[in-house]
Amino acid sequence: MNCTRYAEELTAFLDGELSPADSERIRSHLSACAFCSYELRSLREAASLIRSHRRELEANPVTWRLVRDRIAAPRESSRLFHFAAPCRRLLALATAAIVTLIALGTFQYRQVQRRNLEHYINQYIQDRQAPRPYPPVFIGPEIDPPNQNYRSSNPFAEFEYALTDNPFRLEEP
Amino acid sequence: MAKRSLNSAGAGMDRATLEERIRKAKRGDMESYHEIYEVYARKVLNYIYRMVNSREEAEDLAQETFVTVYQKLGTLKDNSKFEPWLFRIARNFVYQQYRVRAPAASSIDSIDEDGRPEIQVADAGKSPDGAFQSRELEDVVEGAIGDLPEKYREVFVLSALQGLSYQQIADIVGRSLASVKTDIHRARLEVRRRVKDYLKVR
Repeated sequence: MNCTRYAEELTAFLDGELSPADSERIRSHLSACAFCSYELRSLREAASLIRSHRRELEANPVTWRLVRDRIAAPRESSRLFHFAAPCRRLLALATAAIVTLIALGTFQYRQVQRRNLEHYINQYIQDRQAPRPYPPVFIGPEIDPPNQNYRSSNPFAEFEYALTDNPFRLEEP
Repeated sequence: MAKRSLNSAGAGMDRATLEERIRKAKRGDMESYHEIYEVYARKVLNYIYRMVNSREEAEDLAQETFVTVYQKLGTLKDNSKFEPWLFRIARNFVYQQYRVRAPAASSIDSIDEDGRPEIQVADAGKSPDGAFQSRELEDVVEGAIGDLPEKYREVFVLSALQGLSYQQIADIVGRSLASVKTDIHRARLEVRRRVKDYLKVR
């Protein structure tokens, strides 16, 4: 018999943790094995000694009163807002109203911003597409009159010609 | 040999009665919860005491445990698993506050003139002649339990002292049944080694 393996089973047997079949197997082994039989008696006596000589605390009667009082008392977080308890519904409504107003205000502000931007873009497009009310000014008689259509579509055309004919322009070495 | 903790929930209450009390306590019946408390107060207190080694801290944590148990009772789906659920809550409190800390010594007001905690001994029927030897034996037993590594001490206390089944202990500590079985066996061997001189069968 493998008594090393049975050793662990003996503890479970002692604690009533084995199935009826396993218990029967251990019983039949015990009847044939003096070592395991002795081991079981020793474990049983040690368990009995521990049970009879351990020190046990008695529950303090005050503990139940403390437990009961704490269960009955409102929670700490509720106590913090105890002053607001009677008008709790009013507070909730006011909070909801404030949140709604903030959301509406934010929405309205963004709408106005968007309208302004669209207006600005449209105005810019219209300005670019409209014919210029004044003829462009050219510096220098030898410059050919530029293309009218090109100039009207390019607001920087005048500068381009003016810079080319700049009398103060530095010559490259 | 019959399995433990199947029909009896503790001192003076069978399992059916316990489950009925739990149902009532879930509906807010404080009287029923008081009855449950009476059954488990001592067990939980002593389990925590064995883990933290301080009476005051054990009482504080037991109080926290029973307040939390009442508040969370509604989340317990299977009333038959109340006992391991209760001990698991107690265990969580122990580990939350004391996991990284060494076991504290008992405070001075709970220690008698010999330096022992003022707690009751399970065996009250000792003869006066054997009082000295009995006290010595109590010290040996307490030392044997207290010196066990935490992992073994926990399962030993739940099994040998509180009478929980291996499966309940496995549920409480969150380990496999085989692992719990092995640890209980090793703990029993170690405790027996420490008290060997006092055994008739060595």
